[in-house]
Amino acid sequence: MLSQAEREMVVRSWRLVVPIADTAADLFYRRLFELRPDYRAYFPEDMTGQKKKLVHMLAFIVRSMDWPDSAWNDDVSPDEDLFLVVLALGRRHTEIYGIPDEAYAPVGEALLWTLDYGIGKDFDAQLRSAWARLYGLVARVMKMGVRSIADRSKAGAQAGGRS
Amino acid sequence: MDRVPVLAGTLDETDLEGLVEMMTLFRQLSTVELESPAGAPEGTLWMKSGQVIDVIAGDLTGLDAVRYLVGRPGSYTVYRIEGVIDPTTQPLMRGTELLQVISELKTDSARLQHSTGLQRRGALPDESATVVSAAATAALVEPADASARQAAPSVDASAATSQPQSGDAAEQPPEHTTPLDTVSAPRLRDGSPPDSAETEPASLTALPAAVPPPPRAPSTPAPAPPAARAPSTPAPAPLPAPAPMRMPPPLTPAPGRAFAPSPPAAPPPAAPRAAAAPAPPPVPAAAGPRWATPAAPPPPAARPAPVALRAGPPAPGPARAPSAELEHSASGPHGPILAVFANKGGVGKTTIAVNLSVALVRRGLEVVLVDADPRNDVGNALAARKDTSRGLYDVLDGTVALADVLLPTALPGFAILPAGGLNLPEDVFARVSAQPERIAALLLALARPNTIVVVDSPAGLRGVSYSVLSASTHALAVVQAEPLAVRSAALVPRVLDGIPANHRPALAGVVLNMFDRRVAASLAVLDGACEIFGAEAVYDIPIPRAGVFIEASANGAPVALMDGSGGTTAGFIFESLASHVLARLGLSTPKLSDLRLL
Ligand code: HEM
Ligand SMILES: Nc1ncnc2c1ncn2[C@@H]1O[C@H](COP(=O)(O)OP(=O)(O)O)[C@@H](O)[C@H]1O
Ligand SMILES: [Mg+2]
Repeated sequence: MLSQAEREMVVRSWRLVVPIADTAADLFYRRLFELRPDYRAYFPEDMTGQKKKLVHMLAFIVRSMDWPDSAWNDDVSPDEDLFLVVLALGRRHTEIYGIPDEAYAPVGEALLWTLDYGIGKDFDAQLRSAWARLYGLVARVMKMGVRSIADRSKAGAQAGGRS
Repeated sequence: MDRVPVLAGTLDETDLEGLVEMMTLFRQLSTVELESPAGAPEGTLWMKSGQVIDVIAGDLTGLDAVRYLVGRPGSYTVYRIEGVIDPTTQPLMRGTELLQVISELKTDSARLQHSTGLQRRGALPDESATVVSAAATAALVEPADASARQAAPSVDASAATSQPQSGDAAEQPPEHTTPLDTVSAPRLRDGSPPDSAETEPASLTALPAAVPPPPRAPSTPAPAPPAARAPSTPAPAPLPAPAPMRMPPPLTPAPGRAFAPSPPAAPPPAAPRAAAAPAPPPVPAAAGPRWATPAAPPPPAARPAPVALRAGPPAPGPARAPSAELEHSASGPHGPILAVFANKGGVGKTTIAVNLSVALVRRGLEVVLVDADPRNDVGNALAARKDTSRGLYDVLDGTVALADVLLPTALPGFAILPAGGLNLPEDVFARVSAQPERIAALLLALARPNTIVVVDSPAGLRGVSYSVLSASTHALAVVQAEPLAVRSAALVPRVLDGIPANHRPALAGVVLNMFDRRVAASLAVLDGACEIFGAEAVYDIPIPRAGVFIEASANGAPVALMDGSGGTTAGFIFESLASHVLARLGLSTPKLSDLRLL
């Protein structure tokens, strides 16, 4: 369970990642392919775009953690809705990129390693577990993506988001 | 109000707890509808933005409904609801609080089942939680039955202990930080609310009576009561019928939770905006191993004026200085700007920036230490007694004047500009961080002749660090004497080379930090650094790993000012480093005669 304090911690720590986001993306994939060289084959030859998309998505996820309780009743459009976005993202991962569920574990490990490396001493046990919880939750929703009852006709359009 | 199915599955794969946890990511109004294995509707949970709006199961609502629903087998469907909630509605509790309750109930029912020897119906994937037989669960949740209440000791106890608090809470502001017990107590207690309650809208969340209990009308679908807290809403808009009603008492909307009609249909979900967002300027494709070669970052989009690399007359003034107080920056000669940087955090940038600055000041130079790292560590390292919550980032934002946040120190000639920005919202912070021109103009404004600006950069070589580097005349690289750190330091020269020549700072040297002569790896690192940067760039006095730095940072003092415990030695090392740096900056150490006190 991701507590409010943990959400805030994640948001604050993201500030430290923003200035090094591109380096972090480099490090993340380097670490991932160190852990699982076989996963390289899932990705395109040129990783430039992929790195950007990952950073954008992480930024979106973190931003979605950052609103006050008092804003609970604000109108949020479906394409800004963390749950719906992540669910659709997960479905693309399973159905289009062919990512098996077990791949989320090494990817999570690489992510934590990258944050540890990039954030340095501030990445203490508490912050680590906050990120681990967030990742776990996002990964869980992504894995549910295949079960989503999305309008199939939109699936193609959404997959167009990749390139 | 439309509902759009989003997700469906069975509760043995994902139980209520798992569902609620995932649904905390929903910002939209959403519901989970639960059905028994036979397909009969069991209940509905309403959530939005991590808040639980209501839980309904038959004529049970709130925590009673939760107690009924926990551990029941069956299936679920998650819906997204297109519609808005009446603004006067107060959520029942946070999703995290509900999760707490559910997990307690799960443990309780597991315990109860164990002690009464009830038969297992099945086990949840989570082996800590056991599904109780339907009969036992029903007994647990039958709210009218006093003995049954005793069967759920923990919830009842919490309600009881919170009883006095609920009274207190009435006096408190209606913040939604109310402990769960306080919020839940009224629903568990469920007496008839005094009518007067409705005249006290200020304490809706805290007052027991403020949330009117659901109509207990098992046999009649209660006529929707007047929307207590939504007098402007003429009729409580019907809740979307949660699945075909095959359950005896039809679900009724909880009073006071009126839902306004749907606004014009929301657009269909599109591809995530994040993925579709305009890409930042393209990064040249890297050559060689994908991970090892950093692509040269794009040059800052627009710069007011190229920064003169050495002290001297700068190029013509900026077309447009960001603010009046930064205006003078462009005219006249300016002092050096030295960026202390590294592509890794925790290697000692701040320690070195602070102690080097102090050593330079002790040599008679004027120094402004600028903290460009949003961690605001300079203020922390010096245990500032002054307010460091505002600083560089606020000046960049234009909301604060430079003069108001430039802090003088106890050492004459030494001023500090904290990073600040602690009160800036995330989006503003991101925007001001992405303004290389303003960062350059600000540093130039500080770099008056005879002043050295030392900048403590954030970790990394891009973003703010890149802006700082390209606005600096000189750069001092910090490398931790540790093998992995040196490998990543290999990126540094390439990044510097990638900065357009007219913005490229001169490498004022490479400092090895946390050096330990007894460790072979440390020596290997020294060799490695010489190989990467050229032996002449690497200072021959590495900074030892020493307890005094930790002590100094614990005390918030620069090491040079510490007596005993090695402070003098460490201070000496920085004095020596200062000489090297001055030589690199093309400035000579002031003559001894200039340092005479009298
Ligand atoms: C929290 C976890 C993850 C996040 C936030 C994430 C994010 C993204 C994003 C934003 C994209 C861009 C395309 C799109 O939006 O559909 C993408 C594509 C991709 N991701 Fe992930 N991902 C995650 C987990 C994983 C995992 C576990 C793998 C397994 C190796 C993986 C492999 C891929 C692949 C192969 C692509 C497609 C590349 C292409 O062909 O263009 N991702 N991911
Ligand atoms: N030479 C050293 N010996 C021992 N500890 C050090 C040394 N240099 C820095 N430290 C400690 O390491 C930590 C990180 O240093 P810091 O200057 O904050 O790094 P950065 O600015 O790169 O994040 C601090 O706790 C600091 O006290
Ligand atoms: Mg620092």
